[in-house]
Amino acid sequence: MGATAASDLAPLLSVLMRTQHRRPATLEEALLSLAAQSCDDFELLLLAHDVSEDGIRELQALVDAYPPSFVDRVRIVPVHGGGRARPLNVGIREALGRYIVILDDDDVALSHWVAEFQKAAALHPTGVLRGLVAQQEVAPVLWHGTTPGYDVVGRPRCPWQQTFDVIEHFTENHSPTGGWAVPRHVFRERSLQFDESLPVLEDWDVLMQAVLTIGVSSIDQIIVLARLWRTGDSSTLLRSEVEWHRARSVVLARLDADSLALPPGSATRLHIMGFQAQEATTRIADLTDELSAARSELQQSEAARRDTEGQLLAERRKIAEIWSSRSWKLSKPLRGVGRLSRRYRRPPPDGG
Amino acid sequence: MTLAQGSAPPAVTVQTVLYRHSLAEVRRWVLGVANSVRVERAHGLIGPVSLRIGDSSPDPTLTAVQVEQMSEEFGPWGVVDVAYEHFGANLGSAGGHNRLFEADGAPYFLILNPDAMASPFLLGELLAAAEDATVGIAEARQLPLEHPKEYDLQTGDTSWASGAGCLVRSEVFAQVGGYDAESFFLYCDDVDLSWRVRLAGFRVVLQPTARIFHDKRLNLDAVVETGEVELYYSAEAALMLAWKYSRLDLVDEWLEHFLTSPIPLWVDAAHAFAKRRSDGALPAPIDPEGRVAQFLGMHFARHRYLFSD
Repeated sequence: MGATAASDLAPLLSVLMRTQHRRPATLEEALLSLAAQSCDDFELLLLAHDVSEDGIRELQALVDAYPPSFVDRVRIVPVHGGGRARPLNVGIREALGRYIVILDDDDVALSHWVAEFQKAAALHPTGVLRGLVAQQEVAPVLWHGTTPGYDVVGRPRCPWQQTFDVIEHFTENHSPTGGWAVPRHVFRERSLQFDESLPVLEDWDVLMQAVLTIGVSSIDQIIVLARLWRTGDSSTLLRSEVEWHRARSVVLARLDADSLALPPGSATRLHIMGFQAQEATTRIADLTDELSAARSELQQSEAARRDTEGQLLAERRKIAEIWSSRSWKLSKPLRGVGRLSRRYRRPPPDGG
Repeated sequence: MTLAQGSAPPAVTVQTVLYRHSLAEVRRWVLGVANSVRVERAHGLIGPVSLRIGDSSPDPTLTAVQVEQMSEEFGPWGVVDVAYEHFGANLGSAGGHNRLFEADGAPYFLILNPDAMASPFLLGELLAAAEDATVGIAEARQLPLEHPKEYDLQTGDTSWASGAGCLVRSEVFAQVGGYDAESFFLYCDDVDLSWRVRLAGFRVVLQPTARIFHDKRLNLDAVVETGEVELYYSAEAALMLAWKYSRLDLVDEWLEHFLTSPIPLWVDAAHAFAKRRSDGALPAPIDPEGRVAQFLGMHFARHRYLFSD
């Protein structure tokens, strides 16, 4: 029998978890969710980003509190400097697993998270594996008035597309981290890495490049619960619209630079989308014309109304002048005689 | 957590009731609890811990060898005893825990669902909450899906404690007569216990830093699906709770609702309750003034959010 290949010993997943040690409450829970997995075919790289030495010691003490069989699969990797993408690139270099997956330090993996990736990898060993993420709104609070924690304020929801659609993903990222895993060899063979210049969307960037290279297979289950922070420290809240827009432009420019291999059916999808866009453009143009015509008609009606009002005002002035004239006042008795004579010319009632 | 000067750290019994759970789940349960014992013993926060595993499954889940292996593996961590009992009958959650409870045992016992894993600091955090002598039950916070009922963020006070994970003061449990297993088979036994503990003058609190991972899955609508067992027994339990806590108005309303429901299991549960009522087999109503019982729709506490739209 030959020696076991190194790849056979490698764990399925290298879980990259960035932490700045700012959220100890949720970090403890993220670790618990990993310790509670039904499948232990993973390693965890806890990427301590710009964390002090004391902080690293605290992280190690926290990790050591978990069962030894879990602790054996955890490595704390200090990372210094750079933006949010730097730790991920460090993690890729340190990783031993067959797939790279990112789990945030405020996410909670459901117990079958690893198992579902394992099943999907067995069925579709070459592509990106993509499962579903649910989101739950939370608000920062102090427990017992002293301990930083959070309050859950809404029910779990899955607002993203359930079936992966690469065309739709050009418009918006429907695949939060935690839900997808990329074969590690893709990073090596294609020199793929997380763009450290991006303040946000570094994950979308890598996901799209990976999917367009090797395709994707779906896990039709919710496998992660992500926290949506109502306030506080979260990239969604801390970055401006301008930063988001710039990041989007960088990602799209990178995709534009290459020819793209799209999945079967894309030609018809793009045709339909293009056709619908044309129809929408034509309809908008028609509606714009109708609106212009209606506005013009309204303006004309307004002008006519103003003219009529002007004429009416002029006639009223004339009448007022007549009423106030000397000759009108002098002729008043004659107008009274006229009314009396008209009355007596009427036929008498019956019998007369 | 701090202990009173000179006091020995308290002993705790940790108990669970199995029903068709896998060996892997039982292993995870034991590992989590034993690990919390290991961690909290090192901090001097906990004394001897015994595990009590009851089994309502049709066939035994564990063999004597497996139980012995657990004892040997986790003995060095501070688990002094692992006891397993196959009940030979389905006693339900309430009946099973009553059977496992030892009135002359440890001053505290932790009820923990078999599909839950204890966090490393669970025991210490729950004992910290229970240090206050007014606390009768200290509840753990569940992950990934926290129960939506309200709790006071400052004091932890809450209407009732979930039996998925809660630490109970043994003398209080004995004082109130344990679970009402005659009335509640599977659901609302924890609500009823909590309310009787509160009627006895003790508090029920949730300790947010005491965490358990309670294995739940979400369907594609991000909702936990309700199985047939839950459908039936939760309906039966709701009627029982309304009866026991002197809300005959709700009994009538809910009976009508369940009897006319398109869900056959609800109809069955309503009939079963009605038969018990006509047989005179219902518990004597308590809390006529509504001092502790809360009925808000079909919830027994104010909820921060609903689990479905």
